[in-house]
Amino acid sequence: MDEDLNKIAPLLSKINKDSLFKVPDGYFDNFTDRIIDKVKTEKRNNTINLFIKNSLKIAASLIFILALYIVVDHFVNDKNKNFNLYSKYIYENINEFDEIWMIEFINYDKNNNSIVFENFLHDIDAEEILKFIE
Amino acid sequence: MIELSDNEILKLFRNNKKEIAFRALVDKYKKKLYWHIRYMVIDHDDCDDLLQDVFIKIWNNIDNFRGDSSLYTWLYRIATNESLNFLKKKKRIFYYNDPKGDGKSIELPSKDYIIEGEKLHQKFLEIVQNLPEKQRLIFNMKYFENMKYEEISEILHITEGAAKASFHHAIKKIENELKKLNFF
Repeated sequence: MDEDLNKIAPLLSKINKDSLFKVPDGYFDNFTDRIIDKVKTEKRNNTINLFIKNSLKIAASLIFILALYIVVDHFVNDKNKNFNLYSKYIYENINEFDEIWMIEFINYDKNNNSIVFENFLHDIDAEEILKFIE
Repeated sequence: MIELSDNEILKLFRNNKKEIAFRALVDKYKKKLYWHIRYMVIDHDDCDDLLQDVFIKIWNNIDNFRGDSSLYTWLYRIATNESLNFLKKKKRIFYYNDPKGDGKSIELPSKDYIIEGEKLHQKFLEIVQNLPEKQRLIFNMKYFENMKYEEISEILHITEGAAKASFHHAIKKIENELKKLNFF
């Protein structure tokens, strides 16, 4: 390359490229040891960080599961409570059951957004049930 | 100390002798990668930080090295990417501090990173610094590091023709700028 460079760029070829930069004395002598120490420290820190990270992940998962349990428990118990209430009411008042009572019951639940029947009651029209019973 | 071949180093890594392999790798490549980075970033302290980052990256990722390219190419790619990212970041900071600056001409800070008493060296480095980044990279790899075009093309993912053309453009530009100086 040097011969070609001499022809194409004679001024550039006069530059002493080997003595352009200074490097601190002994820089390369201890570089390998320095970098080995550094990767070992990084590895240790990464292990500690990984441990902290994993612990946080586990803690977050536990909190999430607990929160989920509280929410589900709340709804299920509420649901069961309502269901038991309705069952008890129907059982106690079964003798008085008639279509008028049923319409009232359905309308009552619709207006009060009962969790137990909410999903299907909204789709049912009281008059349709009456027609069906007839 | 006997220098191990790349294949021998990789074999040590695969045989779970990671620290011995890494030591051999650092010993073999520290100077080469130092100069590869230094010619790009100029400042020794910046270069030292980057070189350490490069070797830490190599340590962290060597287990994922699948051998699609040679170890030599892979190492140089990491060093090149780190240097270019560093320069990009530095340019952003420079622009942030001096938004009205034209950003075209870069003057080297007056720090004792070059051999004293060589004003020509400083001017020469300023000319090189003002080349477009990729062109400067190719110029450095060929002119300072004496790499083959084949190696440059492999590391930078370009054709040998493109590397050749870029180098020739660079030396023409530098020669023209040198002519304007009164040193010769």
